[in-house]
Amino acid sequence: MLNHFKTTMTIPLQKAQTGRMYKVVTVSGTDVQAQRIRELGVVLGAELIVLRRHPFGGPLEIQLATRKIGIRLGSVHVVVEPVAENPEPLQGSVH
Amino acid sequence: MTSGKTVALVGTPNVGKSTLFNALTGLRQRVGNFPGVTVEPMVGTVVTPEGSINLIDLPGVYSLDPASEDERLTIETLQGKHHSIPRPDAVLLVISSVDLEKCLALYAALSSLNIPVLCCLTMVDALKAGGGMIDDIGMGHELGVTIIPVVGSKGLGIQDVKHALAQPLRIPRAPDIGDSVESRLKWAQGLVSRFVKPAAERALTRWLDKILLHPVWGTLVFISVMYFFFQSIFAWAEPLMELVENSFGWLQTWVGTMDMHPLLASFLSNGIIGGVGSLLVFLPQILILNLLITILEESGYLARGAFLVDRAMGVFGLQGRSFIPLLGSFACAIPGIMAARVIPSYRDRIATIMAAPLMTCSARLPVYVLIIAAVIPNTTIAGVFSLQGTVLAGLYVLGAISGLLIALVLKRTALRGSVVPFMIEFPEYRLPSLKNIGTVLFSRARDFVVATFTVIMGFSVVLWIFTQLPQATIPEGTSEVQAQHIQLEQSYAADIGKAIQPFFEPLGFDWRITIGVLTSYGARETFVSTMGQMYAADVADTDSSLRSILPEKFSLATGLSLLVYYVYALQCISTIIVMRRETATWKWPALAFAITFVLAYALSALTYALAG
Repeated sequence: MLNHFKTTMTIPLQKAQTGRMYKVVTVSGTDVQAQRIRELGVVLGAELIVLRRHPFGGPLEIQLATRKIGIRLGSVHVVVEPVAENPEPLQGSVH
Repeated sequence: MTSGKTVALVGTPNVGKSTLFNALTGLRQRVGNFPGVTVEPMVGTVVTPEGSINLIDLPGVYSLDPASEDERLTIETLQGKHHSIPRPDAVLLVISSVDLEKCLALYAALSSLNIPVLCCLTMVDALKAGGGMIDDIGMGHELGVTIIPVVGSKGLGIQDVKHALAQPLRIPRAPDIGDSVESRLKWAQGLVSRFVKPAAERALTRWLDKILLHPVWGTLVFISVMYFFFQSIFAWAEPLMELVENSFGWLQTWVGTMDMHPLLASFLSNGIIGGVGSLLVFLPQILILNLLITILEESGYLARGAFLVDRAMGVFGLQGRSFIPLLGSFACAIPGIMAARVIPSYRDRIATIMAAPLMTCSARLPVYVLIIAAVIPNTTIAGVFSLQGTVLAGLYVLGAISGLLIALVLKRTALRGSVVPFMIEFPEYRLPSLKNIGTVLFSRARDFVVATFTVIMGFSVVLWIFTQLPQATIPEGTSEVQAQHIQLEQSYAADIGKAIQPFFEPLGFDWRITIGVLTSYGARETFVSTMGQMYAADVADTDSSLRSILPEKFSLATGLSLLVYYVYALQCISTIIVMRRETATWKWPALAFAITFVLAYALSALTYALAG
């Protein structure tokens, strides 16, 4: 029951709503690629905000703690879940 | 005096590592000469009162698990497993105050290597500007390592680092944490929360990024910046190139007035001075392109531009950072290929370098203009577009698309590998440091001259021998243009041209064009002057007599075939040498030469057959 609830809440990072805080649930892919994404700080439990999603499957602009990174996931799958029911958009207000 | 110590400069990408390397070594840097290394690291000498130290600038890494060839080199060197780079005596680890978690995670990984470490803390000024603070002494105490804050661009702390490097350094004790990315980052976060008060994101950066990273406005700004970038290369380089050409032309005339054997005078003026001139004429474009790229990179904009253009480059199997080297190649492939150093992935860098020579460089332009004027009628399409202009634009597009397709095919075949995800960190915007720019420009110019000098001079001398020998007897009172014509007609080059010409028969080239094509290998624009000598015509820029003669000499089919040949053929020895220099192997320049030659030959023959 709980599992079912969880899977409906989690979404791929590409589908994340912009300006909202998410928590990373899984990072999967071939070892080297997933490793690199994790080394940049997109690790299990990390909280992030998608600032902007570029059109036509372009890269994502992500705020990760105090850092801002651009990322094209390639074949790496990052799954996230929303952190809290926070209706306020958080864009640009994170320190 | 020398302590003979070797120290490796290590850090994650974007922490100010190269600025620090320049500040520590100044102009005492050279490309490391390690046999069989694909990515040659720079080696510099740090002069300290206690003796000099070798500093190796190793490619950036995040951990001890390599994701690319470049990272493997760093890691194997640090582990003492590299086949030709000896294990360094110590590590100078660059850590950035504004991005400390990532840097400390690397520190944690390095501390398991049992090698002495000195930490250099960069971007303290940026942290403080944002209202942040760091207790570097307390953190150093906790870690058991010396941490020296520096501002590389202003030279602050540099003397302290030099002094500390000369002293015996401590081996850090490894923190008692697991060996996973997560555990290292968690440990780093703990340290940062204790010793650092983070900076607020600078309002300027946030405000600028809202516009500069916007899919629409950001793209428009990017196109404008690139337009300015491209224009500047031409607008600034042209007068300088003319200056170089005129100075060497003046030198040649001066040698001609001296009292010596005409053969010696000709050798000095055409063989030696002409050779040095054809080398130095590349320098303005190399300097200007590198100046603009360094400003874009240091200011923080290059990362944003690469991000915006990433999707479009992805279509051709390339990435965002490939864009600037390719754009620069429209001026000259040499600085373009050198600029490919900004691409961190080995495969993407090679693919970009292989595509670069097909971008229409400024040396092709005089050839295109000459041939188009000769064979394409000066009419308009639909009453608006000049047919000649359209053909010229078409040649640019043909070259660009072909280059990108070659990159795509290589990425699918020889350079196939796992798609490294594209990641780029956006640094704060900041003003570039003049001192660092100066160091970069000087070392790039020196790299080029050192790499190409022998070959260009050799080619120039060989070309002189074939075009000026055996010496023809010139009757008294012959004009200079006529004299050059007689000399060339009777030279070895003419014999060779006639002997090789059957090979180029299917392309519609006669023996004169064949010589023009062969002499182009020194520099493509030589074709224009060779044609001038062939037809005893002057080649002044605007209303040259060559332009009025050529339409009678070239058929439409020959002209088109020749244009296609110049689009594809890699007729530039300097480019080949620089490709060898930047890839550290003959494999890639040889492959580029072979691919482009086959394409040039086959497509020119096809064009000649269809148009004939």
